[in-house]
Amino acid sequence: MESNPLNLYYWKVIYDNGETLQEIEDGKTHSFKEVDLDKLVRLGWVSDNPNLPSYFVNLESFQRPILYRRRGIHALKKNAKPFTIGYLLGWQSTINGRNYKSIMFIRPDGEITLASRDIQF
Amino acid sequence: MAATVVVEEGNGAGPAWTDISTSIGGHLCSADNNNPGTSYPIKIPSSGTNYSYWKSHRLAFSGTFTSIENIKIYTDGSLGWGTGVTVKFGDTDTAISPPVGLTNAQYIQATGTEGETGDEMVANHTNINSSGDLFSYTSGSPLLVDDSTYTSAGDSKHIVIQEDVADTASSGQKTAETITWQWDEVA
Repeated sequence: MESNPLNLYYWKVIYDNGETLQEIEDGKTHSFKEVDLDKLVRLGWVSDNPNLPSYFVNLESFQRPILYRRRGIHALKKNAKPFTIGYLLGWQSTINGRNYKSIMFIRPDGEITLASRDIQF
Repeated sequence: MAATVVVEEGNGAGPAWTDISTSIGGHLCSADNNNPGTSYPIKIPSSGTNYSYWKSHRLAFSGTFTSIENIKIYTDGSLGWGTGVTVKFGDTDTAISPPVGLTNAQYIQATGTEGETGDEMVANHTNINSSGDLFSYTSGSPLLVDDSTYTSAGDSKHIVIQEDVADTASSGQKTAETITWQWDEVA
């Protein structure tokens, strides 16, 4: 599924001291590399569109965040530009040697699927 | 901020990688050419099968991003080019075993008889040992090309694709098909 504009949602993180960091903030764009994962307690996707909901997940210390934009581009198409297929949000943890995941697959129209593995939108 | 991503085709012995997103590029044809226009059609054989010169395509990414991974490709599941025509992809393994992307070191220039047919990729590409139908992979079940994680500007592994044209095919330029690359990106 295609959607425009490219970045309908942007990420937001909340730290254990209440401070926040957003991908787009005060006209500046932040990279997720800037996020202090040791202080992270909540993260999600938010939009400037008041008609769109926000999506958040709380994290425990043993959970690693999962946060991706799934994007696509058409080959063999003139002037092809990348588009957003959807958004992934969740956590991963290794417990007693086993890999556990819980991932929300969020379509641009707001439909959500919760899964324990990678699935297609 | 999102990465800048384009689709590139490799041509020549080097190879030279060209952004085919900015032109109607990537035409399957009977030459090692990323933008042949209407030149170099694949001749329909009187018997047997002719081929396009195989194509080597990859993603190239730049700009600001944290990571790119889980690179896949898919089609709409229906090749509308009539009977006797298939579009295949190659795999280094003797049976299809994703990820199917090849490294830069595994790139081989396409060969054939220009203006007539390419050489079949399994028999002639040193690093291709099996092939599969690209149009059997759809958005619901895409083909994994590259399972690497990229954290800086660069390019993905490349997929090798080729068109088979049997003697039952019909002549004429065909309507462009949609082939989609997909990846997961952390901004």
